[in-house]
Amino acid sequence: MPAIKSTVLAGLKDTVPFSLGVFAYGTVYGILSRAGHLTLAQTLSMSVLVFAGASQFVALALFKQGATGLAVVLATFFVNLRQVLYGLSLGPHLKGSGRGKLALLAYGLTDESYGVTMVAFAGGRGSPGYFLGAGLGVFGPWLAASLTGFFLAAFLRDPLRWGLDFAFIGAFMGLLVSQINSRLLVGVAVASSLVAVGAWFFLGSGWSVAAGALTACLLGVVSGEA
Amino acid sequence: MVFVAMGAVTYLTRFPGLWLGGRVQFSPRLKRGLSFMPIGIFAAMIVPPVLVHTGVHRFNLFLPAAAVALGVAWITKKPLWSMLAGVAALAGLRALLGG
Repeated sequence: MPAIKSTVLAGLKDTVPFSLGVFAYGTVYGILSRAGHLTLAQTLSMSVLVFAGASQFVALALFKQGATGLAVVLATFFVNLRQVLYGLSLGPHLKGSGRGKLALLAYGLTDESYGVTMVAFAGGRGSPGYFLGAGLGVFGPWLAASLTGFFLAAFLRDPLRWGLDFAFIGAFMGLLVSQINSRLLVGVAVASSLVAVGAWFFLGSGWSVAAGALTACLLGVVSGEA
Repeated sequence: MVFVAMGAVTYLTRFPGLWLGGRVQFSPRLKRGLSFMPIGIFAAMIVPPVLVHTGVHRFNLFLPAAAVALGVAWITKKPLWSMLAGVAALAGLRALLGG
C-alpha cells in the first residue's frame, strides 16, 4: 500500500532533526552504561525493552547508587508517567486504528515522536502511518547509538575524566528550563527540588524522583482554577 | 528481569493513555497537575545528585558545572547544549585541578 508507505516516510523524514539529538543522547547512554559495568546485552536489551531515554539514565544512576529493583521500576514509572498525558491528547487522533494496531503504535510513543506527530495532525498531515514513521525515527537512532556508545566507551580511558558523569544532569537542565515559562513554574521547580532533597536524605535516593514528581503534580492541582 | 519490569511499566504509560484518549475526560485540575509533573521530575534528577556529589576534590565540582549548565540552558533552552556545556566545564575544572 503506497499511501501508507509514503506517510511512514513523511513521519520518518520530519523526525530527522530529532534523530540527530537522539543519537547524541543515546551515545552518552551507551558510554555511561558501560562505565556502570553493564554488559553489551544488558545495554541493548534495556534500550529495546524500555526505550525511554530519561528513565534509562535514571536507572543507570540508581544502579550505581545500589538502589533496589523495586525502586528502579518505581522511578521508571514516575519518570515516564508524563507519556500518559501524551497518549490522552494523541489518542483521539488515532481513534480509527484497531486495538491491536494501537498496541503496536503505543510502543513508539516518545517525547519526540509525540511532538512531531501532534504538529503534523495540527497541520492536517497526521496519520497512524506518520506516527509509526516518527517512532521509527527515534527508535532506530536510539538503538544504534546505544551500541555506538558502548563501543566508544572502550576508547575512553576514564569516562569520568571527560566530565561525562555530569552529562545527564546537564541534559535534564535543558529540558527543565525549556518547560519553565512563568514565575509559578520557577516556584514549582524550587519546591520540588527541596522535597526531592528531603526524600533523598530521609527515604533514600530512589524516592527523590517520585517525591519531586508528586510535589509538582500536587502544586499543579492546588494552583489550578476551579 | 528488572528491565522487563521497567519495560512493562513504561508500556503502561504508553498504551492505556493512548487507548483511553478521547474516551475519558480528566478534570482540568488533574490535567494541570499532570502537566506540571515533568518539572518536578527534572528538578529531582538534578538537584539532589549535584548537592551530594563528592569527588577527589575538597570542593564539589558539580556545583560550578551546574551553574555553567544552568546558564547555557537558560539561554539556549536546548538539552544538547546545556549537557555539552556542563560536561566541558566539569572536564575543564578536573584538568585544571588534576585528578
